[in-house]
Amino acid sequence: MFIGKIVSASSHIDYVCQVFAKGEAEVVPEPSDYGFGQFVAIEAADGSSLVGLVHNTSLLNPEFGNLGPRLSPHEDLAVFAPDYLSEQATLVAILVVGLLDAHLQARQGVPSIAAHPDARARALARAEIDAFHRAHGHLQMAYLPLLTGLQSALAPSLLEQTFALLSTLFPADSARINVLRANVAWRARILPTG
Amino acid sequence: MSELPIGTTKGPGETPQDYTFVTPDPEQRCKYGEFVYYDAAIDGQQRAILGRITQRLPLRLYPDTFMSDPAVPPQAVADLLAYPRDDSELYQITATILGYYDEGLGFVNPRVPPRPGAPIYIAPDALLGEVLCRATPGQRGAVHIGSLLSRPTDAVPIALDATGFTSTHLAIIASTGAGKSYLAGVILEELMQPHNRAAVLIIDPHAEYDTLSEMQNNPAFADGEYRAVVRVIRPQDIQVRVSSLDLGDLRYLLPNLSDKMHHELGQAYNRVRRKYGERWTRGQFRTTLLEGEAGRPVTDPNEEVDATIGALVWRFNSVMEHSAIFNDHTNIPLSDLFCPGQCTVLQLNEIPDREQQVVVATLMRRLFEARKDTERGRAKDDDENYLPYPAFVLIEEAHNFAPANAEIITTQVLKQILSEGRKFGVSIGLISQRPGKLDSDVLSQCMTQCIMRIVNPVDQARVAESVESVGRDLLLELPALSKGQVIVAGASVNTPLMVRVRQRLTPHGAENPDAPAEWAAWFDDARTRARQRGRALPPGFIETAPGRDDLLR
Repeated sequence: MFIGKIVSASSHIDYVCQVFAKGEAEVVPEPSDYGFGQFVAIEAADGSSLVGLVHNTSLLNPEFGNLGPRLSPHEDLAVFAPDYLSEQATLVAILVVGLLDAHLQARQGVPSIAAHPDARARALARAEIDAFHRAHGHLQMAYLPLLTGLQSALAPSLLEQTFALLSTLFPADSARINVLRANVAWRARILPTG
Repeated sequence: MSELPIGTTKGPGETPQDYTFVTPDPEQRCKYGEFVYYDAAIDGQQRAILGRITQRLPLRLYPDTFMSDPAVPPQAVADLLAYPRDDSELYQITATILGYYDEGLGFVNPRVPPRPGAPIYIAPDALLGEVLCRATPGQRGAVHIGSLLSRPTDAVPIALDATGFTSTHLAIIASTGAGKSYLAGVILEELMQPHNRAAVLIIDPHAEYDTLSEMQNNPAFADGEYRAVVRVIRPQDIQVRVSSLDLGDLRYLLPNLSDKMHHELGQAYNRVRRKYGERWTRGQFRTTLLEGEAGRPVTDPNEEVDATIGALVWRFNSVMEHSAIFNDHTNIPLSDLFCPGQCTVLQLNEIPDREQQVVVATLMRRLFEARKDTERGRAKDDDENYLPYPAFVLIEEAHNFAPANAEIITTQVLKQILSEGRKFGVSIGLISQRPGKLDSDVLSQCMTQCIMRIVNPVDQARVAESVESVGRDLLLELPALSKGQVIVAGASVNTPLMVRVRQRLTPHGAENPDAPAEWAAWFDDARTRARQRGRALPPGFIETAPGRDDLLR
């Protein structure tokens, strides 16, 4: 299921995706489809997909702050000025952490190609998440430095959420994941609080 | 080799022999002094490289502010943050490499620390049992003193190799009450068991070893026709023939000698030996003194003599004639004191310090000479100084016999035995509660050391400077050792060990008196009545005794 389209990028790996609203896609995505920490794929030109993680959400609402009287009630706007309503949008930031080619071969880390504007993004299926992380039969997270290097207060939560997801997908590797998870939790929860 | 790894190698430590590893150690198995190992290929063979834990540092310390309320543990604060308690424990452990064990070479250091990331394992009991000690409990030469402190009781039995300390000597050092006499008792028990059957003498200034007599009735000390013999020599039974004293002994015994007296004494000593040989009597010595260098015949013992000679004779008489120890003809035969399968307890209580020292000096000298003569074939079967077996002498309160900063009569003979005794099968065990007051040369020549709790900084410093085989890390443990815990190092074990001393088979004779209990017992009913009976006047005394009026009248 597609969740939206790429509308902007602040870097080679940090994109902004506008979530499809009603009327923009056959099936309107549910909030859980583009939730924080969700693995997504961005369509690339060569049939491959850029794999990313939703790491932030922002809302676009031109009406915010416009507190003056209205000539038309809100219900009438849908009839007389529907384009005005569509200026409200949900934007999600996607951090690209690798690439899945057309044969589901994964390459983790910064991809050489970039997404183009309007490229569609979709939620990654569990099988694809598994394929993206499996190298020689075992879990691999070579993109982890990209997440830890994220200059954001949300970065530790993103890491913890990713670890939790991967622990369920790769139970055989849960001990290894737990080592990283415990370290992130200590640094994110205990040290700053003290 | 065994179970799951306990930790993971982090990297090198501060010295080339140290490495560090990181462990969550939820069961707290990485204790100070615990043994760990890593695997390494040495000359194509997989070897377990043993190391001993010397430091334990927590890596995840809760912030100080989490501990601002003593009633709220920091873990509870961490719970608020949904931080899992089990994940907080993480330690950096420093281990000192001992090496892999080679039957011929002992521990061989591979000189390469483990690779970073290499797994570290707790050394299994069986491995430690094989490599820490040369001797196996119950076998000949084994002195089973207890078990490894870092493991459950008796999990890793520790046995000293008796051939180590009976050739290069033993020192037992501890503060009062740390259990040194108890440990000595354990060692003596082991030496007297059927698998060892040693010839042992104990110099016992406090008469606290006579409980060893119980060995004679204990089946653990019997095997077939063998039965351990314990001979206790009471102070009144000690006899020293005056002619076995040397000039130094005489000078030491006679008080306040002037230079001239020293001279006259030396001259007389040489003359009496020339005239009467090795055996002379007190009367002969006195006569020789009175005769002077000219050899003037003494016809009247009460004749006026030179004041110096007179004073010397007076001193000689005051010491030699009024002592129950010194006599003209009898020495305790060495064969009575030393015999395989016999433990002799020489009780020196009630004997003045100087006489104690002379008794020990003469005895040690006789023992050493006898062993030398026997080994060199100069003494035959029926000679007084024939002693055809090695002997071990345990000396309690050794600082009284080899004090620091003073050369007394026993110091010289002890030093001689410590340096040469190995060749002739004479070995010494020194027990002291004040290593700071013990001669450092003497202490440093005891190549097996049993060191128990020492709190006094002077004593700790003396141990550190004299006992080279104990590492600094173990010396730091000295004040923290509990009663019955001992650090053993040196020639009788393969590496320094912390040991929990085993239970004795015989009662301990140096228990502290329970003064409050004895005070309370004074007032119990039976004893109070007995005292009242003792003070009571005879029946009818009150009626017949004169009253006040009678007396006035």
